[in-house]
Amino acid sequence: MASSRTLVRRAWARWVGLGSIQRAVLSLIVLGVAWAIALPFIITLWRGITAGTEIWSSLWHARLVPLLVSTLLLTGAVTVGALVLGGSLAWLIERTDLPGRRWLGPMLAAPLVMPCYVIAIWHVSFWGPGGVLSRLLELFGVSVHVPTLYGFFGAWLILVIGTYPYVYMLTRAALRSLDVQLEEAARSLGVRRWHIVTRVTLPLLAPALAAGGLLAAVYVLSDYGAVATLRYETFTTAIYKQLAGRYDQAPAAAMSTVLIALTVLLLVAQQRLWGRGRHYYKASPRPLPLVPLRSWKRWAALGFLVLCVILGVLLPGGVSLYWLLEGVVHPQPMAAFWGTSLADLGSYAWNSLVSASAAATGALFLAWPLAYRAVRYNARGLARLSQAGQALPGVLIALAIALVLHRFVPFLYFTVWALIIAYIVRFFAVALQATEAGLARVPVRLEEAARSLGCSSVGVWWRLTLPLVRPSLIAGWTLVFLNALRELPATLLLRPPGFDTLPVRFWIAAGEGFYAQAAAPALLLMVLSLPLFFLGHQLEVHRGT
Amino acid sequence: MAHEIVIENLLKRFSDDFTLGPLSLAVSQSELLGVIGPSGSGKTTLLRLIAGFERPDSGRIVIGSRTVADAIHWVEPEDRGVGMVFQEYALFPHLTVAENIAFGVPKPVRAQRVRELMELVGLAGFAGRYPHELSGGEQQRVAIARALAAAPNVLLLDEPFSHLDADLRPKMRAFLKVLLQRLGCTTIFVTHDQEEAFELADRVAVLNAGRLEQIDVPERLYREPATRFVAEFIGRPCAVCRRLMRAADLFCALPQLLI
Repeated sequence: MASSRTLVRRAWARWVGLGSIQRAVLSLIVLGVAWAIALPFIITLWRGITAGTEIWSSLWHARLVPLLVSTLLLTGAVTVGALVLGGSLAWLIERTDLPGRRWLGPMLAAPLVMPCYVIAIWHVSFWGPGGVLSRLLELFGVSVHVPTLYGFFGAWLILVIGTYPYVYMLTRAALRSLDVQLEEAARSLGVRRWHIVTRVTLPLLAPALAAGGLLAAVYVLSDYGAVATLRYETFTTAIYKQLAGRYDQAPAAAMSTVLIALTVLLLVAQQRLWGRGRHYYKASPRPLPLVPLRSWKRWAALGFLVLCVILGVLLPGGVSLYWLLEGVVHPQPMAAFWGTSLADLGSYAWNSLVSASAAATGALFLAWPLAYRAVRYNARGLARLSQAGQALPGVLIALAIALVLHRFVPFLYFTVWALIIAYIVRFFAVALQATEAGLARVPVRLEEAARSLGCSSVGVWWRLTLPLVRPSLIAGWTLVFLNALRELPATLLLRPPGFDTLPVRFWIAAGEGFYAQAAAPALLLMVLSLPLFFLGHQLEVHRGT
Repeated sequence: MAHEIVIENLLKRFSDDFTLGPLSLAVSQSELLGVIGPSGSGKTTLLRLIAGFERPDSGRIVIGSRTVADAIHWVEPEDRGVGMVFQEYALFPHLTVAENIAFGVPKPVRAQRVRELMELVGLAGFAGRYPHELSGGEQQRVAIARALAAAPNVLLLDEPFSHLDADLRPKMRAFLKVLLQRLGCTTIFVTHDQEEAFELADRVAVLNAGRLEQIDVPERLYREPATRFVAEFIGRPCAVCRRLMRAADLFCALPQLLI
């Protein structure tokens, strides 16, 4: 007769091994979570589509065409810029003998650490008449007209700086995994260098370039902070104005439909491309030969790299330090009003940390059943559905959550919970991808092997599954956390009154021109974002807009 | 017979203390030379020097009547007319079988050339497939066809059979032998399997720790090994096998003995 202990063990084993009933329960849970996460997306689309012909026709005549043109123009230009810049920087770092590649390599990825709106605002405060640059020049008695950065060019420049790291990092990884034998084989077939680049190297890099370019394009569509700072109107700024000013949801929903359609198009393309061109492995461990750069080429390339580092990292970092010092040296009477004391700063940071970590933890918990079902039963349909949130830029997620909460749970509206729900929905895809990647590292065979060695099912969990999944879970948590931490427009629109986070404080202070008061939150944000640097290779990074 | 490849006092030093050479050898036109030796003996390096992927520190390499590498001359790999079949085949993963084979063929003759070679290696129906859709043996035949399509004077094969299943090897060996005899292309192939070398090659060179121990027809290598190393490498593998097997038997029996 079986002892009670073995009975318990068997019951547990059946649960973990998932018999038909348990599987049905799991499916139900997954169904619920997936639809709940996708609901904001669906409702926004529905509201947009059913907005009525009047709204659509008035939109069509007044706004839609100019907005489409300006958004697509910026998206296209930034994507091309990011591809050219990121691709060429990756090549210079990986394939040439440039001096200082060791430390320039990571520095070039460093703009990832700064949210795009921070880069934009510090650049705006640096250039232009009365900016930091002209002030510094005046110290030396030089007075020149420094141009401002507003408009298309400024938005383009800042967004290229903010998005080229995606292309750069993916291309670098692809260059590193390129098999040197393929180029050697091409040479032994009598093909010249330049033709090898166009016929072998570029086609092999194409999947990485395309993936990076699409990441950049999706980012530009979702960006609010940078384009708002640089006064360039796109869909996000137009929708934001509609929501923040008049709180008129119907036209906003209609515009959102168009923006969602554009984003979904790009995301689908991205999923199609992801993983393509990877069905070969690197056969030869031999490193790729470096191209020697001589005389002027060497210095031109080095100057170019240093310029990129200055514009992307040193300038924004330096300007925030400048303003911080300025605030300390010349304290202003308004400072108290702007709440720059350490205690105030601490409360903003606390608000940020609590909301972001709650979102990260919640997202991972909800992602687990979906990932489990997707990996173990290869049932990915519902998991796909739950990723819909990533097609909603920060501005739209605010609108979507407002619509849903208004209708179903009005008492949550304008509470911290609304904010946390918004973060979870928006960044759920990141949590899901990380969990799936982790679970994929624990094949069922491995668990079976452990069981055959006499390990109990609980033991298998504790000794095998968890340690193998843990790194991915940590990475996923950190990514959701950082994305939520830096999310700007959704926080601005959904936060309860008085609930200020670091990005909100930074944005409001900088928006009023109180740069000295914006410096501390910005620097804190950068410091907190540093882990992104180490997670860089994961690249499911969707930065807050 | 005229020499197609002449190597004189070739020397190549690597940072990790490995040195190939000084080494001299000559390969006649249409000859099939096998190069054998234990792993790390410099076989692949020798091929890479001939192909032009490595620059020798000193010595001379002549292919045909042209000096391709010495103290003054240097001919880039793409100008040497040397075809190479890599150990892992190095097929272009983004190109189909036909596109892979056509890679080094000038446009005007491309279509016809590709058709001929696909028939020659018995892959006539595979034009539209991608490398990852092929078996190991098929991949190898594509790699050989690709190298031959560029009409090289010299063909280099790096461990051509090492990535094939054991039951496929004799078949591919026979196929390659017939093919090379028909084409009359000067060929050097590298292997660590002496049986393979003896079956295929006209002459066999034995390398050990970067030095050429002996180069001769298989029969003479077997009967009159020049050095102790050659004798052991050629003559005793079976004895070693037997001893190993006896050791393994004993090892398996140990638990029973102990109980």
